[in-house]
Order: sequence, then C-alpha cells, then structure tokens
Amino acid sequence: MNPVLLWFHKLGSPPYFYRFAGRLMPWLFGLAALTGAYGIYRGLVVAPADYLQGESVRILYIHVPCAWMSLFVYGSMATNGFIALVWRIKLSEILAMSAAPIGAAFTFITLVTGSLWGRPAWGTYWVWDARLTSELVLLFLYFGVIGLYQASEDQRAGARAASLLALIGIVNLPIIHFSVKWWNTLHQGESVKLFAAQSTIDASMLVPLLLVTIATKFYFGGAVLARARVAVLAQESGKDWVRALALGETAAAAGEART
Amino acid sequence: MNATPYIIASYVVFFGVLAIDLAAPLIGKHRALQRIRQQLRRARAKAQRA
Repeated sequence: MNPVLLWFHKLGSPPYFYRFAGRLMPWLFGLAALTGAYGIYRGLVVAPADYLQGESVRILYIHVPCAWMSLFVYGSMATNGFIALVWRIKLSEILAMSAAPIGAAFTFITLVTGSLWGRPAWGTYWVWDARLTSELVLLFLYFGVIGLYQASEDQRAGARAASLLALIGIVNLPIIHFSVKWWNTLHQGESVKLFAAQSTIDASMLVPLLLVTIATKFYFGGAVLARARVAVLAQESGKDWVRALALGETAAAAGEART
Repeated sequence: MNATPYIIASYVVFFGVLAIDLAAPLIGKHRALQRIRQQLRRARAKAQRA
C-alpha cells in the first residue's frame, strides 16, 4: 500500500491519533507563540500609525486574523462534518466538534475587537451593518453546533446532527466575505488580496498582519488536536489502551509524589 | 479620541479568550482520566465483593 495512504489509515486509529497529536501539539503551540509574539511586537511597536485611523489601527492586527480564522475554522468544521456524514469516520466527527468552540472563540474575539475599534474609528460600538450582522450570525451558528452536539446523549448521533447544521450554515461564509461588495456597508472593503501587488496595504502593516495570521493557524492546529485528544479519551474510555493510560499516569504521579 | 484604552482592551480580550480556550482541554483531559480511574476503582471493588 502507498505509504501516505497507510499513514492515513493508521491516523484513523484512536490510540495512534492520540500519540501522534500529543507529539505534534507542542510544536504547533511553540510556533504559534513565536510567530504571534513577533507579529504582535511588529504590530504594536514597529508598524506606523495609520494616517486616517491613527493608533487604533493596532487593534486590526488581531481583529483581521481572528476574522479570517472565524471563516477558516468554520470551513474546516464543515469539511470534517461532511466527511463524518458521508463516510462515517469517527475521527472526522471528533475533529469537527473540536473545532466548533475554537471557531466560536475566534468569532467572539472578532466581534469584540471590531466593536472596540469601531468606537474610536466610527464613533459607535455597533451598527447593524451587513458584515457585522452576518459575523454575529456565524457566532450563533457556532453556538448552535456546540449546543446540538452537547444536547444529545449519544455523542456520535449528536456529532452527526451538529455536522448537518454546520453544512447548512456554510451558506453564511460567502455572505460574510462578499457582504462588503454586495451591500453598501460602513465596514471597509478588503485591503489584502491574494497577490501582494493588488493589495492596498503597506508592507510595514502587511507583515505583522500575516505573522499573526500564521500564528492563529498554528494555534488552531494545536488547540483542535488538544480538544480532539480529550474527546478520543472520553469516547474510548472502555478500551484497554485508555485504561492503561489512566493507570500509567496514576503510577507516574504516585512515583513523582514519592520522590 | 485617545485609542490606547481600546487597544489595551482588545489585546486583553484576545489573550483572555485564547487562554480560556487553551485551558479547557487541559481541564477536560484531567477530568476524563479521573472519571476512567473512578470507573476502574468501582469495577475492582465490585469484583472483590463478588
């Protein structure tokens, strides 16, 4: 068998995934801390104040990456939800449900930091603008997915129902993205394009923005694996490997206490 | 308008929410392992009584 396919098959095994995720997590969190710290330093100290917005532009170095992540995490959750619904892969259910609280956290940060930026820039914390309202709907969609998953006694049935809701809610993603083009909104249009030459943002501001964006991607990778490991433990609690792990950790803790 | 309080509040929210998000799986893992150990202890006690 192709080694990559073989590795994917192995990854579907809960004990293998648990160990693999445990090894990968520290690297992802480490890279997130490094790129995040440097990006925030560049954003707060090195980057200049905006000629129009003044110092309040520094809020955007966290607001924009979190807004991008709120959409990215939803896309990732819906993709895993689709795989879970079609192929009934347990790990995809776990990954989809583990992504929901992280996506909700990013959406919440986006709304609060946007609101805090809006006060000095627009003179108000909130307007019922198309971009802001559709982002608020995204937060409610995340809450719906989390609530539906938690409400069911059978975790797997709950995950499938929540995956279906996640798939239906994906219609909101293009609405959020194109809202500034489709409607006349107070929220500004996009300044960062896929090709740097088309971007209307200066490099001194683009660099910290991209660094924090990369950091949030690494953070999401680490956080989703950490949550998925807990879900794997809970779902596999009757299995020998989990019992051995629980007893092993007790023995290790007892050993540490004795020394 | 002085933007400094808004900048500070934004970064506090950012780090605060991410810290809570990071702590949740750590607490969850501890609780899950504790629950499994409790189940094992109960099963062992039941077997001894039998």
